[in-house]
Amino acid sequence: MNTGKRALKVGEGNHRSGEDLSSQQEAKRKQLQSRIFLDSIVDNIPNMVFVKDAQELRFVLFNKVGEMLLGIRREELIGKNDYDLFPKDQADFFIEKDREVLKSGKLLDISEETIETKKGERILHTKKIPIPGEDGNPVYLLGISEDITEQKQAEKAIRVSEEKFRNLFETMSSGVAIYRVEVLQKVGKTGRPAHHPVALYRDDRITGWRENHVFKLPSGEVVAVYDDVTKSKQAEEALRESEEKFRAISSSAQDAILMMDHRGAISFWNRAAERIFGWTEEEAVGKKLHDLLASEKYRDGYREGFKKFIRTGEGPAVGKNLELSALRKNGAEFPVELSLSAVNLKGRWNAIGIIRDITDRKQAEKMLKQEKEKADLASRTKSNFLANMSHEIRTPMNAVIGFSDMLLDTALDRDQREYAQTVKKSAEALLYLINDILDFSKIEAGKLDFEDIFFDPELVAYDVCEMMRPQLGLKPVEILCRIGDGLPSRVRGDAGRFRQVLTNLMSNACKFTDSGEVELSIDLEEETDTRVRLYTTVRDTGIGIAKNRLSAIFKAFQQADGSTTRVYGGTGLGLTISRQIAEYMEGDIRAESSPGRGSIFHFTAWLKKAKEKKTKRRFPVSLSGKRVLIADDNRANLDILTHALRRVGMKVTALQNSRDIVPSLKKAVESDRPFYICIFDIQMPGMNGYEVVEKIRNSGHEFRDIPLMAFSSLMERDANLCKEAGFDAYLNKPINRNRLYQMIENVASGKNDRKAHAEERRISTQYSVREDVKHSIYILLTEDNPVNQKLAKLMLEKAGYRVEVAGNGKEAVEKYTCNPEDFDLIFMDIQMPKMDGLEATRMIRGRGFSTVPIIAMTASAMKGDMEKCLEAGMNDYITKPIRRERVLDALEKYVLKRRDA
Amino acid sequence: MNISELAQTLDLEVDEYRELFDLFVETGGSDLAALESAIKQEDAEKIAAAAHSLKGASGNLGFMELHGMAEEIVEKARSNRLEGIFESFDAMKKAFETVVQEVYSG
Repeated sequence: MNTGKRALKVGEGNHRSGEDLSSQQEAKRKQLQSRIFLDSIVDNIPNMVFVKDAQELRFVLFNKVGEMLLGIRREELIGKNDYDLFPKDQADFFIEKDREVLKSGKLLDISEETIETKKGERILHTKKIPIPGEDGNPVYLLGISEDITEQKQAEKAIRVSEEKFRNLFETMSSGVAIYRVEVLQKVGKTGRPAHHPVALYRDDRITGWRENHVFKLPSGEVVAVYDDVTKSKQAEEALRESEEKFRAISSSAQDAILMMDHRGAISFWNRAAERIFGWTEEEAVGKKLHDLLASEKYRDGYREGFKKFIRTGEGPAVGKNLELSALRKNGAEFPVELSLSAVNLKGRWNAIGIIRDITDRKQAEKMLKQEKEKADLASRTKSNFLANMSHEIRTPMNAVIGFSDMLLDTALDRDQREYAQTVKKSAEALLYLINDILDFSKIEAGKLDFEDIFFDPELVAYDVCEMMRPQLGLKPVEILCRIGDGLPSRVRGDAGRFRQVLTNLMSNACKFTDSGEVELSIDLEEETDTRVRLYTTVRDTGIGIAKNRLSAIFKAFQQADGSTTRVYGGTGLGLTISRQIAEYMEGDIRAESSPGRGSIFHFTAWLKKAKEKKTKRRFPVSLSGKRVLIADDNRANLDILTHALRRVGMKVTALQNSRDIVPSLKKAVESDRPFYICIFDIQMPGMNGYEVVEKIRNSGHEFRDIPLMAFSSLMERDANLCKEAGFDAYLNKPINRNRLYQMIENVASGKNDRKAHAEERRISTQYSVREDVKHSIYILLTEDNPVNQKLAKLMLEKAGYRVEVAGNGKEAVEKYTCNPEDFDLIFMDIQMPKMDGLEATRMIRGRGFSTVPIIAMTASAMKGDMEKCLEAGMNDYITKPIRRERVLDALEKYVLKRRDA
Repeated sequence: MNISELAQTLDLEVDEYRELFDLFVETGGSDLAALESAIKQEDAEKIAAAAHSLKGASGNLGFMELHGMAEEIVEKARSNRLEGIFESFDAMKKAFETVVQEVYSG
């Protein structure tokens, strides 16, 4: 409305009236009409319309759209100029443009201007037009402004968006091609390339691509998006190659290769698996491995193992090579070798098995085993045959020898005696021969068996010497035995073999010596913490051996002289066997000799040390300081004897001439230093022992009752002669020191009581001195019943043995294992409280004491009992009641015989 | 029964045998007591053990009648046949006393 009034005023200003009223009224009505018309046009134009006066550029007209655009009401605006309404820089701009229009009188199109409104900045497209007055000069300025803010903003948004996508497009790794569909059609029709999309790729290195997306734009163009798959192509290639390799390997493998997944199902199956098991890959894959292949006996174990395996990848078979059996498709079970390993695939444990069919190998093994068993059996059979043969031959041979002996004891005429002696000698020779051959064949087979027992080398030496005497017969040969001071009384090793060597060397020496002496000397050569080396020499005054034959004598079936066999007999194996034994004992045998001057054989052997027995080697104190007169024409023997007697502290006067004996005795009495005892040889030149003893006994002198002891190299039947001649005691050469000491004691003390026991007086021989040996034997008696205990103890002690008692099995085990070396034999009652005899035996054997003889004493002689005893590790059994013969027989069998062996 | 004869069969001196016999009387007495109480308890295992002890000792000293009686009791007990065992025991006890008397008086 206000606009209308202004417009009217403008109109008034433009129409100066001079007309009449009615016409004036008419004109006014028309004028009003036209103004309303104009106003409604102006107000309804969708743009802002304003009019300024050309003079001061103040607003004279302003429409409704303008009010809404600027947020200024018409009344506030009319009469004001731009400086009143807008910031100065904007107002300057508007006014400048207004002036330009008014000056030029032409329309000005301002495509974009910004204007500050109450609702914020807006962008306008404004046209300014001059409205001329009657003189043609512009009086008003008309402005029409279109609000293009939204349009401009939209344009900008599009631009930003486009830039964004362009950047994206330019930097994305995928390729994008846009092409016209006709190109593709053309390519399809002609088959020739045309504008190929690959050309769009920015990188020459791209070797692989994949069309990912194709779509049609509304424009009809086709968009294709490509991915660079070079790397994955390369990886694929490598994978394919490795897969091929793996396939080649697995399918050419001779062993079945298979894989089991975490469910226990077969996930891989190679060609060999098909061949071995009979299942094709198709049949096998996916099946439960163990249902298909495992033998029944493994299934339970497998189920348990599998549970653990899938959790941990571990199992009893994992990482191992095992031999077990598996099933073929046809159900046949066959031996396989399985090598199992675990692999973790995607967090789950799988198993890889390599399985080899070892049927052939097993068969070969079995055959080999069978062959070996056959061979073993054959060898055992042979050994058994040898052993049997040995036994079978020895038994009659022993009978031949034994009965020849008995025959020789009967009254025979000279011829008969000679024949019988020939029978005996031949039988003995044959027996040696058989033993040698047996030993030699055992050496050849590497089967010479060695024992490990305690023994006294001194006793062995004496025994060997004693054994030689019959062989010498009536040859004037002295046997001497020299025991070194350092020789231990107890060593551990093979007593039998050691003795065998000594016997062989001595036997050779005796064989080849017709007169003079044969001396065995033995001593300690070297000692370590656990072992001793014994050094033995055998010296003779025999025929000797030529130097160039010395090495030959140790070779099998060779003797020093081809003719030796004919003259002296023997197999020539003895030294070969001896050298083998010496080598086994880590020692050696060598010989030195010259023809006509005798030989010396040196033998060394390592043996184990053994704890010395407390009771052994007790030297009789009573002999110390006593004066003894000895006489022997043999210098070496005199030497040995002197040494032995001085060892126990005796004062020795040694004579080499028997004629000096009586004068020496006389002189001693005269000088008030009488001899305690007098010992001399029987065979002496000039005046023999019998003559001497007769002279002494019949001398009527103070010394006529002196204890007299004879020793001789001749057979023991001299004993009676000696007794008749007046000797108190008789000893065989070589002299055994311990026997010698004991006999001196016996004889000397017996002499004191001689009057009291005149009728009981009997001559001491070597056999009464066997007590010495017995006394060194220590027995562990295990018996719970006090009566039985006492009885057994009494019997054993009376028989000369030493006894330790254990009241039950437990005690026996304790006592024995504390001092195992002390005991030579265990008697073991079976029924005992706490621990019975069987259990005790098992424990002793179980702790490695395999050699000590354990003899059961059992009340019931049931057949099964004996087996139980033997099974428990006992050597034998004796039945109760305890009887002397049974006990002593067992000792004889298990201790004395072994010692003598 | 002559003590020197008994000693001789075992190769013992008279005084050794006497010592042994004293021990036998002592342990035999306690064996009998153990046997009696075991029989009352009807404990077959203990019966067998006590009788076994007596059996061994009497056999060793050469009292074969006693030995046989003890053996019978052992076997009965082992096969758990306890009927009439007290009578057997009684007889054995009497035999034991007889032996003791005879040896000491002889």
